[in-house]
Amino acid sequence: MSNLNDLQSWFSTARNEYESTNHSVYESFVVPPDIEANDISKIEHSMVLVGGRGTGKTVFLKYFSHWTQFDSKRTDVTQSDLESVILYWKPDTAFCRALKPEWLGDEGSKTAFLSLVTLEIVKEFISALKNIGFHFPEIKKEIFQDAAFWLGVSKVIGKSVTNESTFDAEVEMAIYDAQTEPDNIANKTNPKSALDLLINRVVSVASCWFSNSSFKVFVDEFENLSEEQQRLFNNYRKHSDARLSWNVAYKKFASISIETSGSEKLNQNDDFHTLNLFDELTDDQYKLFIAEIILNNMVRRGLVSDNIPGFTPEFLCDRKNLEHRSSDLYKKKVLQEVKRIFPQPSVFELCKIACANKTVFKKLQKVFLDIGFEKLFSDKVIRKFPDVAIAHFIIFYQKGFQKNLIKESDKLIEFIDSNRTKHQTIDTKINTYVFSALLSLNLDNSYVNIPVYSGFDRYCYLSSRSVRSLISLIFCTIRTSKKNDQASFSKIEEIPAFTFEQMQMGVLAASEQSIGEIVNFTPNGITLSKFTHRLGQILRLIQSVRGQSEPEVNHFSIASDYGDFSKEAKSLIEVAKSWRILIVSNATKERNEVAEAAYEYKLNPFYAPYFGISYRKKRKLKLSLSDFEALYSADQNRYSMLRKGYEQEIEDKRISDNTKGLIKEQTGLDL
Amino acid sequence: MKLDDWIYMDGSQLVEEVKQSYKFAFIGKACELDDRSKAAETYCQSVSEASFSVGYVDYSLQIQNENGVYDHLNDGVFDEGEIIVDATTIDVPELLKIIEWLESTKRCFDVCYFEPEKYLNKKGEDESCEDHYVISDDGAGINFIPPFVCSVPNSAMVVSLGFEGHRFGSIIESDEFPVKKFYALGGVPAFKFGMEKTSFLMNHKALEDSNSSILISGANDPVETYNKLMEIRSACAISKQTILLAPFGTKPVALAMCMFAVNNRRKVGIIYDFVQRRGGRSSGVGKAHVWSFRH
Repeated sequence: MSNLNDLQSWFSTARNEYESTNHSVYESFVVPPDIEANDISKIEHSMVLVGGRGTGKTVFLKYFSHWTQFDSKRTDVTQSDLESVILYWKPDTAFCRALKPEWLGDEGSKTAFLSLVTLEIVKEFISALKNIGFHFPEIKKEIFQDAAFWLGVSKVIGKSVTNESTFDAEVEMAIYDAQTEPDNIANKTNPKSALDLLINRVVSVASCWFSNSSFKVFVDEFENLSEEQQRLFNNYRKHSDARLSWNVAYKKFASISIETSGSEKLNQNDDFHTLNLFDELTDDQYKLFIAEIILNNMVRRGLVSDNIPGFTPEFLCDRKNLEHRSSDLYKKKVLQEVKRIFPQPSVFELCKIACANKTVFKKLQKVFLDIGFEKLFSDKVIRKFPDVAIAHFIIFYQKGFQKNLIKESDKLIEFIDSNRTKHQTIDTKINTYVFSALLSLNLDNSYVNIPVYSGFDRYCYLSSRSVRSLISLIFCTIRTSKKNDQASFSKIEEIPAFTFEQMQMGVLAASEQSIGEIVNFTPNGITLSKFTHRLGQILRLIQSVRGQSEPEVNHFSIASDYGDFSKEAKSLIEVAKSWRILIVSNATKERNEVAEAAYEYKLNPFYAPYFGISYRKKRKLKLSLSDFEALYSADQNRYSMLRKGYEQEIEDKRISDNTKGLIKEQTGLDL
Repeated sequence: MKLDDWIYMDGSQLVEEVKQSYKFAFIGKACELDDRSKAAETYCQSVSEASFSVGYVDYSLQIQNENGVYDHLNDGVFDEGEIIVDATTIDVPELLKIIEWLESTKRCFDVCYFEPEKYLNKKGEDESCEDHYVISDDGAGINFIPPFVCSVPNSAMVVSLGFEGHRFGSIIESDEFPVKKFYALGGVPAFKFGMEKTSFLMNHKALEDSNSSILISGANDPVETYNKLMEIRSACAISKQTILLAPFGTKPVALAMCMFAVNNRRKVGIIYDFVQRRGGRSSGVGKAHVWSFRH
């Protein structure tokens, strides 16, 4: 039996790649629905795999690598799997970057780097042969008993090697020497020549197995190598061929060199293809995928599912099951299970929850009394049409409503009395403002906490395609909930559903934690943290405006051509994009607007709960370039002035004395 | 190289009373930052014939004064004469490179350090509601200081804790430091009673996330710190791990780390985040120390 403590520990390792002791992700990997279109083992070109933080690049690569494809637990390996052998290499980038020309000389730094890379990639290649050999012992025998093969290995690693066990010992020694004495490298070599030599020998010795094979090296976290080191690899990428190709993976928006060591440059399409991880998945496909990942995290640890027969890690890791996984019945079952555990209140339900709160009820009563309704009628509206009541928390304070109070209140009465069939434009207005009103109610009063961020779909939206963020959300939800729940379970169906309040608390905790982490984003963490907090506070101020005409403002454009931005502004935007603090899209042109800004920038939805703002992309704030610069400026006064401007706007939107007079004149009410 | 002698007293007393004489003083470039930096500069200039500012430029030590830049490795200017190094104003990379140079030439030297009375709390500067210390600005990012480099995955990392939790946090957050084991060195006793609580509080999240083993040594005690590093070295030797040092805490602890790295070449790496120290980061002058190093 398991309990919530166990569940919490299953979701506590957000950095998935640290989980396994080797690189295999067999049984932990969920094959994504678009894998056939993005099968990197079949793509002939040199490839670039790009993905944002936490989207799963490393796990994706490890799935295709020999570690998983030839995992000893697999029982379905065939000879056709040998057509593509993928080597996965994650460099020790901090160490590699330290191999500076200023320390080792130009040639020395290049030699030190290439020697280390060669050793590590040769080690990876031998590991691939061992894993393949597990499934095809005859291959291992043919190659590992070939003296010429080991002669080649000895040549490339600079140590005498005659068999597998001496290789293991000698290559570790060689790597140790390369790491501890990079200024004393005896064996000058490079990874391309080394692999060419060894692959040619392997193909020659075991031609019936490898004659059609292609070998692909994938270098992970490429963005962390120095520019000079990237150029060295670009030489290999440029000259990839059908037998051996060189490929890289890096973070989206990272700054990467396309230069080589010579005069050539890499050219997209000619020299490489780019795969943006999961970009082509629809929202529905992605939600199902995420639901499967969540449930897989549970079944891997021994839970079973009665409602989804055959739902096992092996099932999810096998591409043959993709068709079944795309069936409507399967999708319905999986989503049902996850949504049962993380149920989502509709907006109407959120309004009901809000109206059940005494503080909110009293606020709404006041609004309707101010409109001129009788108390009984107000109470009826609040109880029977909570969404109408909630939306009017904003609508009542709008200038248009105030100016025509009698007419608006008459329309509203007719709307209510007709059971919402008359004046249906009011329904549209309610839909526009109701969610914003819920957010404003939360901001208005610290002990009102309407669970506006709770539910599986909202979790997916908040995490904006970062699997790591979603796992973090679930972890925080479980952690904030478990002290109140001692349930134990052996089946997924027995896991108790989280309440809306528990989910809300979990989201707020996760959001707060992630905000606190921004300052750790080296090297610009302090600036980024300052920027995020300031931007969030401005958006929060705007959200708290009563009578707002633009609801759910959570993204902005900068009214200036990108070319006019200062170097600091451009640099901040690029770094913020890279760390997924800002999500950038092409600007949408609003009605009657002369387009100035090319881009719109949205604060990562994961931060929205911390500031109490909307996570959905709704209304836009237009900032001048100067306003934007104030958000990250070291000059505190500059930001203070910007903030005061918005605070003044809030003051102005409170009911002015003139408006109070107008209301009294029209209704006799003395506010 | 080892620590041979140690004197300490109130900072103002040191300036007034101790009249040792040195030929050269090496001072950092940030002497105007705060009270103690100015006191350290005054002291060094008063006890030496000539003072030079040091910097870390293109991964090398740069020594200069109003007359120009000196090639300390080749032009023989500093070959003879007593040396004092001011650890108050010098950053960790410069301190490490100076010690490396002086060790390689078997020179004896003194290091002085002035403690502050207090550090300044910049609560709410970035609009967050949390109490925190922002006494530095963003730097160039975390990098090794060559030649003190080592393999990361096969390392145990030792982080000295300071007031800025984000410095340790940035290591945890980074993709580049998947070390096998973390040790956290807390400065206990601290410069002033209560400061140790601040440093643990500011680093609590990183301590939890890294599952660090916590060791303590005096915040102004390089001797005890060095001993702790020796213990860690013994533990790492069993599993053949290299040691990766992150001197994010006090300068005396950083001094011990630099000495340890220099005395254990090839087995120890040092990383640094090159933060820019802020002006007015501390106020007042506390105790002053002078440590003498001999071969």
